[in-house]
Amino acid sequence: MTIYSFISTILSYVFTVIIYVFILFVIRLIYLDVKKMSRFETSGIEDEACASLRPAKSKVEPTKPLARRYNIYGEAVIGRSPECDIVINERFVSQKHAIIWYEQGEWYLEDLGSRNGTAVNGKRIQSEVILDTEDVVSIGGLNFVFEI
Amino acid sequence: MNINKRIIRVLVAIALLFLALASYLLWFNMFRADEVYTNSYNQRQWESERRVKRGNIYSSDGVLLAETKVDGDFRIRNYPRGRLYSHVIGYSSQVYGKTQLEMSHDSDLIGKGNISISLNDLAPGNDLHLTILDDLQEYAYDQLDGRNGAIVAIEPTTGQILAMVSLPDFDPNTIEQDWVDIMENKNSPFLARATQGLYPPGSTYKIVTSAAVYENGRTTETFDDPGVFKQGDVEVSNYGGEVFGNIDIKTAFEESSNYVFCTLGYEMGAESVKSEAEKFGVNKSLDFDIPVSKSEIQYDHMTDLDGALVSIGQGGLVMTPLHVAMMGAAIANGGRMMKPYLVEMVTTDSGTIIGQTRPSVLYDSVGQACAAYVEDMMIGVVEDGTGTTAQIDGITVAGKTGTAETESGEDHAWFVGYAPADNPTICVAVVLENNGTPGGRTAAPIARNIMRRFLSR
Amino acid sequence: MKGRLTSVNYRKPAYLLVLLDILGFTLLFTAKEYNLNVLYTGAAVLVLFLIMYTVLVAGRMGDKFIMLMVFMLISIGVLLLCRIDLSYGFRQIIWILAGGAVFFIAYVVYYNVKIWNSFWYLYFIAGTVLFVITLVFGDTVNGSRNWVSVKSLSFQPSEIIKILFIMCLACYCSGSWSKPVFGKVSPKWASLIITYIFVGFLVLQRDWGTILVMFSIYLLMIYVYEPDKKLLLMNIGVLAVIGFLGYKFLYHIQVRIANWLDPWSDISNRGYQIAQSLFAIASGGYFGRGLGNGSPYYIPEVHSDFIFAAVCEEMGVFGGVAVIMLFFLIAYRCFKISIMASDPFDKAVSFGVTVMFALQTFIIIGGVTKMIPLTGITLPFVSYGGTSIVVSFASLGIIQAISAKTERKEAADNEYQ
Repeated sequence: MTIYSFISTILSYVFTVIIYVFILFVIRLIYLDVKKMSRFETSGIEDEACASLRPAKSKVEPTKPLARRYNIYGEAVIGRSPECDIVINERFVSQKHAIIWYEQGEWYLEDLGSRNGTAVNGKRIQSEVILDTEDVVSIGGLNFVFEI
Repeated sequence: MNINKRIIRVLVAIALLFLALASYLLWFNMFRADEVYTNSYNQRQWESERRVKRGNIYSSDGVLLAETKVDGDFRIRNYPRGRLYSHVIGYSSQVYGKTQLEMSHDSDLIGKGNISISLNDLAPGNDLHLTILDDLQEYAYDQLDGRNGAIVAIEPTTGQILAMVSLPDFDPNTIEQDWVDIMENKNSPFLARATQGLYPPGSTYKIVTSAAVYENGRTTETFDDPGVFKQGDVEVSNYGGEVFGNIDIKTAFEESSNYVFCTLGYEMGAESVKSEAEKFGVNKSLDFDIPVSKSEIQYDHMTDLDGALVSIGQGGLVMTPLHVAMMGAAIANGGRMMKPYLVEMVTTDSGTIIGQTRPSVLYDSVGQACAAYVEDMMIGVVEDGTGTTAQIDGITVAGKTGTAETESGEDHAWFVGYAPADNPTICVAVVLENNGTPGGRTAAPIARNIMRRFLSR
Repeated sequence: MKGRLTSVNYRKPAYLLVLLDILGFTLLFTAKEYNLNVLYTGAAVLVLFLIMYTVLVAGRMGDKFIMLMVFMLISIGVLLLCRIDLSYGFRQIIWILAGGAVFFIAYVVYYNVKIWNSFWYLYFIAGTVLFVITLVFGDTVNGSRNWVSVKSLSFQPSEIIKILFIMCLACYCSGSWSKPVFGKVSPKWASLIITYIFVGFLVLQRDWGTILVMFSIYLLMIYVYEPDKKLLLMNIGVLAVIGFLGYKFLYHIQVRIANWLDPWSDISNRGYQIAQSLFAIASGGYFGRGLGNGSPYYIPEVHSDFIFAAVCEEMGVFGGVAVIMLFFLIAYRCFKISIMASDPFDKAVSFGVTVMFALQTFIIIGGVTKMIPLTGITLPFVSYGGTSIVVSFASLGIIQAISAKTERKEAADNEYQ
């Protein structure tokens, strides 16, 4: 066996590993991508796991107009960061402000350590709380009506 | 939405197709690839050959047994000892492939895995050093004197093969010219009788039966031998129709009484006979340097009567001469059967040892006391039994003769024995195929000569 | 399931691809006696990849995964082509360069022209013209008359016809071709007739692989789009009858089936190709003999149809399975694009193109591994071949355009919910 074929034999293992790690990375990316997409798709999630936030009258005025309704499929992070599922680009909203998710028949809300806090029906929340329909959720002072 | 649903169905179908493709590829590689690769039309098999000079093979006493001569792009495999090793080393032909050591140690001989610094030079393969003594091999070959049969000489304490001859044979140097003749020869010269010939071992197998007798605690019994063992529709008479009358087991062994051993086998029962056989490796595959046939008891359901026949080495029992030699060697080695081997070491072209075989125990067949009991009787066989022709002046020889009946044709003459009995260094098994003579007359002297030759070295 | 927002990192797989190319081409560089052309080829692949991928991501030109995987396949292909014969690798690079250009052209044109769905007759006429050209001026290669040479440049019109055929069918499937032809023949029957005309031409050319691909595309498209299931069953019935008659009376098909069942009995002659391919696959083992260690020269047509056998020999069965997985992931992404597409014509076109890729891959890989009878077609993006590469890139451009349309529309929808 010449040196070349020896190196080449070793590299054949390296190549196999590289290609498979590559495939794994791609699969992981596709998985993340699909997961992100499925939040916008109604078909992927059962009907119970759909809810929405409807902006209501607030103490603070938003600088930009809000949407008429924000839909939540399964879970949604609310915040200023463009990575969030519901983006509210206001000064008093933190980058990742709060999260709403659905788990075994209940909707939960949790503050993600925001500066201006999250409140339900006027009471500021400390840990995760269960949401009911028609609850008023305020994100840094902006009020929304939670509707299942 | 209906359309999307159907598109997803097509996607699932395509996924199944691709899954089938990948599974098929893996299946092919697992179960079919070897067969396909070894197809003689696959030029790849000879590629490694073109880049290397195939290694040499030497005997234990340093005689060159196989070498490769390079002539431009041609490689000529030369066997200086001609036919002498045809059933040990085999041949290596571009047309007909490889056999025996040339096949089983191919990757050693072409030096697979060696890293050479040169890029274009012909890389040398590795050399094999066998356990066989060329001198003894040639002597054994002459002793067989052209008769069909096999001789296996083994060192009982290590399992090293000292000589191994099978006849008829062929000349590996001219294999390509002789191929058709050899194939058409009804004596099948391609059959390596020592390792792949299956023979009924005849009375030599009483060695194993008497070990079972010892383990069943029946050593002190005596019998009244009427000359014929009759049970149901089975009738076995002693060799030459002799009637021994009142005898003990030791005498029965020395005189090779079929009546006594059939009776013992019948009474001990099929299970006992079978389990004793398996302690000596019957019914088990043997991993050896070259392909070996499996010695076995060929019954689906073994009855006690079958057990009686097996006890005298007949019936459904067939063994290779190598295995019979190992059986004798196990008794010689105090009941421990050593794993036999042919290749002592593998060295590189420059002599560096890269592989060495260490002796290892194959089976702890019987205990020391049991081996001593059988050995005592085997010494008796040579001193004043059926095997007196195996006596050597000044050396105690232990042995057992055998004359195996065959369904078609003449009897096989058998002898297995070892010497010196108190500290055995060689065990020899001899079989003369369809020779028609008793083992004590023809096979035993051959074994004696080989042992004497070896011990006088 | 608390919200864990992982920012998607597209760079890691790209790095791996670059690493593979660097290692592979450096290895070949030493194998080919330090011929600098190997390095140039490798560098060209890398530069092309980086440029195309950057433009794709920066220009938000739709799906970002397909191009990654396509370049992985291209890298494997070019590595092996260079290893088999440097000149193939070198010429392949030129084709990939052309393919890259065609990719962007196809993307821009398809994205911006909105009236593709109204020209079914143009696609049909163009396809027919190409067929006639092939029959009149074509050269016969390996028993199939499917090459046309213009001066020193030769190409396979059937590759282009496949795309035209898909576009034509998509017009009918999307419902935009609704008017009967000559006032009598409804589009359903007209498209059926077109299919049989094209298949008829292909029979004259003896291009069995393309027939298989084209007819399967037709069947799958009417399966998805045609509510009338009788049409599908009838076509399958006709296919079965034609297949049986072909097996009965056409020597070409008999030979292929016989070779598939038992290539070993006539190894030196008719079974030669497939036997050599199997020898190569069998010698590779799980991890392959290593790039440059194998002997792909024994396989006929190793640079085009049989390249997969060379992949298996030098990169092992695991390498082969990886290639199959890559093709499947590409097909999966394309199917997803087709499912997400909102415009019916886009949906139909992307579905057709996807099915074409997937079937072509399956037919040729299955063929060289003797899983199904062998019919010669190229392995997209891996095999050497100008038309194959350029057409594959063109169809990829169309897919990306459809994906980009969907993504942008979606983004717009989300913003003004």
